[in-house]
Formats: sequence, C-alpha cells, structure tokens
Amino acid sequence: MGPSQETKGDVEDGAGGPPDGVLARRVQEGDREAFELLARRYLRPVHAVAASFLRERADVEDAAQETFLRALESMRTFDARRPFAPWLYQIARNVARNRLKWQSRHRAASVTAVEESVADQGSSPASRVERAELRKLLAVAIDDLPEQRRTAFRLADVEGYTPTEVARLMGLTAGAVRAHLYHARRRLRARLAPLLTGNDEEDPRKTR
Amino acid sequence: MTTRDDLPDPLPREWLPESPVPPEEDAEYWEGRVRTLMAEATPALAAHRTASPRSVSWLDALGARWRMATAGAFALAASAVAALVLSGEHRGAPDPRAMVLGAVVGKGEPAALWEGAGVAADPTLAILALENAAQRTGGER
Repeated sequence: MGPSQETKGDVEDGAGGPPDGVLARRVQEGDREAFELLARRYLRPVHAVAASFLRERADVEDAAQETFLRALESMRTFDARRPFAPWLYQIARNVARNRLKWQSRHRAASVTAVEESVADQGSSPASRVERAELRKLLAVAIDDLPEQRRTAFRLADVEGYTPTEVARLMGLTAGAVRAHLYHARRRLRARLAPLLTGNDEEDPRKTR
Repeated sequence: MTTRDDLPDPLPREWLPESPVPPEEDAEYWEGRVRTLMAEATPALAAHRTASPRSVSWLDALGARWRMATAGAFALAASAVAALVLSGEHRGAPDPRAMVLGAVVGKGEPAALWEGAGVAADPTLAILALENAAQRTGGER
C-alpha cells in the first residue's frame, strides 16, 4: 500500500503478493517471512496513522513498532477471514491515542494562542501571516478536527494516499472518506479565511 | 474550486505540516525500520511456533474441539443405546435350554406339573415343552 498507487492497495486480493488473510494465518503459525511481508506492506501506512496523532518522528516510530508487536501478540485472536488492514489500523489508533494522552499535558499551543500570535504581527495579510506561522496554525487546526476526519485528512492530503487506500486501511467506504475530506477541507479553509482576506495571492481557494 | 466529485481542492501542500513519516522512496530508512521490527518480533514469533504447530485461529480451534467432543458424545450415546437394545433382545428371547435347566433343577413349573400327574420329570421333554412355549410367546409378540 503506497501513496497514490491504487494498484498497491489491491494486495489483499493477491495482485501484489499473498493476500493479507493468507499471510495472517501463516503468522499465526509463527511464520517469520509472512510477518515480514505484512510489515513491509503496512509499515508506512501504520506510521502515517500514528503521525495523525503524534508529531515527533521518534514517537511515531515507537508507536508504529508497538502496533506491530501488539498485533503479533494478538494474532491468535484475529479471524483471518476478516480484513486485516482495519484490524491493524484499530491497534495503531489505540496505541497512538494512548501515547497522545500521555503527552497531552505537555502540548505546546492551543489554536487560540496561535491565532492571537499570528494576528498580532501586522495589518497586511502578507506580513501578518508568515508561511511558518500559517503552517503552525494549520497544524493546530488539523489537530482540532474530529479524530476520524483528521486521520482521513492526514492520510490523504498530508501523506498522499488515495481515498480508496485510506478507505481500505480505515475500514470505511471510499464515499465516507470523501465525506471526511470534504468537511475537513472546508473547515480548515474557514479557519484560515479571516487571516487571508484581502490577499488574493494567498487565498487558498484560488491557489489550486 | 471543486473537483468533479464535489470535493473542495486540497490546501496547498506547502501550507500543510511536514509529515514526520519519510516517503516510501526512502528505501534505506524503511529497510532499517523493518530490520528493527523483525528483531523485536523474534521472541513473539518463536512463541507462536512453539505454541501452535498447526495454524488455526482460536475460533477454529474451539470449533474443532467442539466437533471432537460432539462426535465423542454421539459415539458414547450410540454405544449405550446399542447395549440397551442388545440386553433387551436378550431378555425378550431367553435361551430355552437355560430356562429348562433352571426350571428342572429348581423344580419349576414343568417338573411340578409332571410330578403332580405322577410322571417322572424328563429333561428332554421339558426342553421340548419350553421351546414350544418360547416359540409361541415370540410369535405372539
């Protein structure tokens, strides 16, 4: 499963190697090679899911590794007739969420604080909204999205996965993922609009 | 502003936060991640191998055990029913010779009758009489 590569999302059907269910059954027997194939297939997507909760690469790496080790421990309870990717996604989500809870006490900034610091920098949108500040504000606004919407948005728009790939990983329909993207993009544009009014060059609605 | 499926255009990529996840093309990074993970996973994989020589999910294992237990119960029940039927048949059709011998030795019905009529008890006649009686009883059933 790779960013923007629809064919790689079909590996479960056997197009890119043994289907997930076959590999999962082999892992249940302790097959090292099968586990490695699953790891290669899902290591980056699991990192991407963790990155929708966590910011630092080290945290993301730890969460991804913990996800796979937990999946391995729980492999006996996995029904290999069910889709593997959403099962793994749920483990990744729980691991990352628990880590985020632990870190939440140390969160550096709230949306309000960032908005205030950005707004105080001047009257012209161009001078007021430096790119770094804009990205900082946007990052915080993304964090404030509802969890599933944020994950779908990050996987698609930040990590580059197609809606179909996101749907397969999250266990949703492609339509549901598109709906999440629709609302996430609209909401983020609305959050940025007050900071960008009067500057056509910077208006995100006119950039693409 | 919107694409054909009514999705608003994505925000400019340069505005979005940097991902902490390296691109898929960074093969060296991902190879290192796989190696690290496989090293960490070695004990758990070994545990799977020793604990489960045959690959079955816990549901399959439970199903197999249930089937085995059910088959065993059926076999036991069939044995019990067969024993009951066989013992019932034995009771319904007793060996006439055994009955005769028992009756004669214990001075049962035929012997008592013959003695009453002044006839000496004869085991051969007793056998024939009781076989006839047993056949009549079986025929009525």
